Amino acid sequence: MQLIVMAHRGEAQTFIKNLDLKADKNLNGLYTADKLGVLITGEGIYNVFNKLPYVFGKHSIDKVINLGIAGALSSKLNLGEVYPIRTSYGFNEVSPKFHSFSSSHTEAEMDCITTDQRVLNNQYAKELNPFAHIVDRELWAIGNCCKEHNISFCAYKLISDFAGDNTACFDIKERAQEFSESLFEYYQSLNVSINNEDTIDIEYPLQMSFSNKARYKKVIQAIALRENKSHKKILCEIGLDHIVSQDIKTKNKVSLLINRLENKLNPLKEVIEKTLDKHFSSFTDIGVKINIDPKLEIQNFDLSMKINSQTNLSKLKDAIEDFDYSCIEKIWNGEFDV
Amino acid sequence: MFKRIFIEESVKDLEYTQNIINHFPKVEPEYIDKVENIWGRVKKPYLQKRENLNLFIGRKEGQLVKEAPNAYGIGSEKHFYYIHAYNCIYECKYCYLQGYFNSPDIVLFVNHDEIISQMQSIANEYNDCWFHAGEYSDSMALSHITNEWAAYWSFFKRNPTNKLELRTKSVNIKSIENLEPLDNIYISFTLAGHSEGKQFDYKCPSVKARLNAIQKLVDKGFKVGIHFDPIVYSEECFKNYEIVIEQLSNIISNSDLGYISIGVVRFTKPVYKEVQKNYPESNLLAQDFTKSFDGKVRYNHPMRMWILNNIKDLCIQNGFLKEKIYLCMEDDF
Repeated sequence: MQLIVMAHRGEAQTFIKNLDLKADKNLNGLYTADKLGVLITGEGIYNVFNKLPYVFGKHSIDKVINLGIAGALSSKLNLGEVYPIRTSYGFNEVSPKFHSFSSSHTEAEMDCITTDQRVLNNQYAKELNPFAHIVDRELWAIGNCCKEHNISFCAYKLISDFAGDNTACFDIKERAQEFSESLFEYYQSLNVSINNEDTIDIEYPLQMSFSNKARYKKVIQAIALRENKSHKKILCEIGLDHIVSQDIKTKNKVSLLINRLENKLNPLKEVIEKTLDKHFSSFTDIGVKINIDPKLEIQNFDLSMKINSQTNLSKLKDAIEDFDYSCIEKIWNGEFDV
Repeated sequence: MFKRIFIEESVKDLEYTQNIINHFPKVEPEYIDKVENIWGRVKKPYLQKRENLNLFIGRKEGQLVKEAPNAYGIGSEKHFYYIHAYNCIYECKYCYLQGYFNSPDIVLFVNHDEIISQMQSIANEYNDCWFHAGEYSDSMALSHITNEWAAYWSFFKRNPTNKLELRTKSVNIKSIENLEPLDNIYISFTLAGHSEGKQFDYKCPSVKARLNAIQKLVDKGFKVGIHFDPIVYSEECFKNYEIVIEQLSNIISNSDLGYISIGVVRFTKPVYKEVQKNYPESNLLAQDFTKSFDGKVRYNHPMRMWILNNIKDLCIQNGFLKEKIYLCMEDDF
């Protein structure tokens, strides 16, 4: 569902009238239809924090669109014009809020700063001016909620006045109808471009654990990026069908699949691992298990062996005595044949 | 280039400041109390530097010259870096600045006299130490408008046993071309293979142009340093680096070369996240990186050593002295 968020009922009136929405019984200010909702939050960030997360929890929201009137901080802006917003900043009583939230509108060129009180004098406007072109009362909170819920947002601000000494003389109620109509007209012109971006869902060819899913996703995306190939083609190239047809446990199939993908992404890693295996063969041949750091970051390795006879012990002793540790150091120092 | 220019009241009358603003007659300067009251106070997205880059001119306070980490650079001398600017006009895709500051806006500090005075105090104590410029910004990219190098040249002429390194990818050598080449000042260029430069050093001069700038400086008698850092591995990278190393060997001899440093690409976690966000299509993300012992994102240990050794061998094969080559090891990163 696409959610339009507006601060005032006056701003939203044309939307509610024209979009065939029904009032939600549970939340005052929420109007919904099949794939669209309008939320009237009330003015200020606290009203947004009160209502928006509730809507996110109750409905499946893909995208938030904030539309509303705002004050200009830059004299270069035109009254009555609607500007798409690039980044939302925040300002509390005395200083800017550190976090900022960028809209998904990639061509926007204006930034908006959200204050927790109205800008009623030029001194305050001057203080805000270095950070943004436009000032409003809600957008920073909308951006914040969207970020927390991983929902993209865009915002469009209609310039109602120049923020400062003259703001107090300005009465939104008198011109609410006019603003609402302008915003609705603008919204209608947007409809084509605000379709949700396509998101690529990863398909996992085998049932795998959460951590293996993360490994699989990381490696297949990297190969696809480097080789500009589809996931399907990559899986075909590394012999997915053959892996699937093997008579081994699914867990082992997953491990084989990920190993093959990782070796495709970085053939050097396979070379290093094979060189290490060769040097450790005097241990592995007699049943010693070798544990090396899978990330190849720590030079240490562990040996473990089940001992059930003097012969085992003697073989282990001989293997340890014959082992040349400098071979491992050489590999760690990048000296291996490719 | 700059949308807005903010100037601290305290430096507005300095000659350096006037010089800078004279280059941007169309931008009306805005006067502020302190750079830090505005710059970096909010998180400004890094890529806004493309269409919404602001300039701040101010006075650097506090410690103006800082000691560099151990084994920074070649030799066993002490190393210091001084801060004359924050941020860069270039946009290298691996650049650590994208996760370092909260804003991509450029800050130029113009209290060079105070920086030089702190450098003098350090030079009095360590008469063979190195100073480095360009830790948080390219040293040369804006030097035609900042115009500070003559003052630093005088310092290093007075202190001939101390050394200066100017790090750059710029070919903007106008501001130093007419200065006297000094044996204790090294202009050090970051190089890569031609295609790697094109792929990762976004908005920077081409590697070819950098080689031309090196040639010009060498011809005029300047000492030059080279950084092959950060190297991003690909199957073709050694072939590509070999071409550049050979071209370099044709324009610079060991006597004009200060040093060659070699390092492999690495990121802190926040920088890697920024790269993912800013350059989702970049080959930098198609690498088999691992989270290293210190939390940094890089190739595994044997692989990065193998890359360093290969590039070092290529340098030696092309006639550069082994003693002039140093590898940027993990401790230095």
